[in-house]
Amino acid sequence: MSDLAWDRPFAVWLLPLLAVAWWLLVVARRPKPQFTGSHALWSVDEGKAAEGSKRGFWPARFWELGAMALALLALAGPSLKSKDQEVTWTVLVDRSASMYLDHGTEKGITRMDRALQRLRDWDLSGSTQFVDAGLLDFGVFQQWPEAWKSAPRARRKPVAWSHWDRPNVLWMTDDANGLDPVHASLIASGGQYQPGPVALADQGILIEGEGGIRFDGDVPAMSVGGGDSWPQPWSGYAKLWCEDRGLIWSPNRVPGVFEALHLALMEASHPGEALVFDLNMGAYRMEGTCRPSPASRERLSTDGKVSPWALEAVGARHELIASEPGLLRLGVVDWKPVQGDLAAFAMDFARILDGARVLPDFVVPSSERGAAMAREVRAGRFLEGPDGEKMTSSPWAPWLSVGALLCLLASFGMGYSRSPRDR
Amino acid sequence: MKRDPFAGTQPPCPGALEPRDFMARLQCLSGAFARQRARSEGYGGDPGAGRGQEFIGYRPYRVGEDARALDFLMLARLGKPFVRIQRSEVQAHLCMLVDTSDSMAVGPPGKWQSAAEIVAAWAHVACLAGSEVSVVHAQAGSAPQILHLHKPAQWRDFAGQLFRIRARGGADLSELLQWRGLQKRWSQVVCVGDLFDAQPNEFELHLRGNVPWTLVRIMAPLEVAPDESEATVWLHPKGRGDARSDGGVAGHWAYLRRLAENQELWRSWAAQHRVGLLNHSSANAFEEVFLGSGHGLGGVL
Repeated sequence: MSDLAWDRPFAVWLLPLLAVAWWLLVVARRPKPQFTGSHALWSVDEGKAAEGSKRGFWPARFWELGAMALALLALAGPSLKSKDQEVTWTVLVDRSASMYLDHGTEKGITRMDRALQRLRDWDLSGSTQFVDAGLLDFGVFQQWPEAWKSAPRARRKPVAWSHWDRPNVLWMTDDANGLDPVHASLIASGGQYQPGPVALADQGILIEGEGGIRFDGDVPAMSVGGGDSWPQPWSGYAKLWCEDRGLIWSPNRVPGVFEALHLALMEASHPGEALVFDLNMGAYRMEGTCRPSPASRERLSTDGKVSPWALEAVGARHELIASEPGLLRLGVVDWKPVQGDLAAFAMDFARILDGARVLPDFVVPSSERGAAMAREVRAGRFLEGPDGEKMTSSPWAPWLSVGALLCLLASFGMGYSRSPRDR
Repeated sequence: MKRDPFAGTQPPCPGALEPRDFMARLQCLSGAFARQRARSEGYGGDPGAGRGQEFIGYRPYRVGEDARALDFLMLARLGKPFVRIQRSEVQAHLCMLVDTSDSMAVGPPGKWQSAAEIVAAWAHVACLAGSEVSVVHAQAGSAPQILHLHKPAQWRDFAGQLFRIRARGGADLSELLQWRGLQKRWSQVVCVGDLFDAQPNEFELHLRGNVPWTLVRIMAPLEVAPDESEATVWLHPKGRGDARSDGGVAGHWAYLRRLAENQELWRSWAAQHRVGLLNHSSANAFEEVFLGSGHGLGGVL
């Protein structure tokens, strides 16, 4: 029995109740003894049926019991807990800034901690894998990544939960408001309102508190690291941007200073000749070579319709600068001076730097700091059929149903075929 | 060896109790019977119950009356039809054979309770009319015993003994008919029982002369109209096996058909041999035997 899993365990608990109900039915339907002086008038015909009736009563009752028990078992949906049938739960983790705020009910416990605690309490059968709901392409982790213990530096897109409303998927977030999964399960940890910094401006910090929003002029020190690895004039351009934004240009990490951006060189994924590019952005034009790519070695050119400094080759995408939150990698190896409108070039370059720059952890938007609604939804154990059709996970349920039907027919046969009314 | 689950069980109503207002009801019955007797004088009563022989007078013929009752001498002399008014002669000695076998303990209401009330009432009315009454019964393993009632003043003791009899293992009517003491000295014989264990030809040996016989057949409601909705194990009162019905219409219709055939057998036999036959349900009051059947006690008194 320990190897059995049940879709609807309550049906199993109904079995003893069924046995009691069956016995009461049997007692109620047992023939009542009556003395009669006209016994001979009954036994002329009924006496022939007596033996058959005696034989048929109990077997019919047992067939009925079997039919009801099998029907209940089919309803319970049993399945074997074998390795092959174990479910792999995909935990879709919301890693937005609010998840790393204090939960509010216990000191030092974040909303993420509370959600993980609830996940452990659920004790999911089968294996578990974790996916960052805001960075679906980032990868699937079999273990809880250490890096997820702190808030991501990346600016995140809103999570499209509805696309993940699937069986064996568990949404893990802090706020259940607006979430109503049908097939997926849900753990929303909830949390109390947490006041604090909500935005960072050039001249100070906006801090939201009980009395409203106040402005704090003490901007925390932030730096841009790794800029010396870039060749000129790119590092010069970046340094100018850094000064304009009030950031510290630092070759190495400075203790106690938050690094808003790190600059690095793009590593060649494939050794070979550099790729020649001719990037026409309309207002200005860039030419040169960039890191090689396995997709193509022919000369690339564009008419400026692509996003800044990304090139489309046959079957591949090449970026002169790869941008990630908090990290910029330069892929340009050699180039000619920019032709055309240098101001437009500077605006595009500054836009790339601004997009890659991240804010300190303590700056959390006001929308994230609000109270979150806790909720838990346990979806049934379902498997997805080959054509997307949902079906119960129990492979035995149909056979149990057929068995119940056969038992029912047998009980009819035993109970009525020997009845005198059929003769 | 298979155990009989019903071994040791017995029919539920072997005893009889004298109803609390029994005497008052008997007095009402006697009065009602006297009025009925006055109204029916001259009709001669049921042939099986004994034809009256004592001549009282004449009265005009009514349409529909038996033409044999016409006095043709009066018709010839006066030119108008008259019938002779006759009154039944009081039977000097009434014998009542009472079935006290186990089948009379079937009920409720118990058949023996109903039989005892009828016998007591019949004896009371007959004794008031001047008859001597003997009630013959036989308890388990013993010879038939006779309860005598000679005078109305003895009725209390008579009824006391009668209601002390229990329908437990006694003789049925078939066994009583084999009693050698059943001689021709009775001038009227009334048999009270359910007639399920008897056959009509067993009575034929005793039908002779002008001694009128009346059979009072008592059945329990569950014998007259068994409940068709529930499965029942029908037990023989003497433990001779059981029959089963699973409930349902068909089995009960078959039983009712056989019961009707059985009753028709007795009815036709009674009519053929001029024997009175009164069917009575133990659920009904004993007065209905005397007043409701149309037979009355005319043949007895």
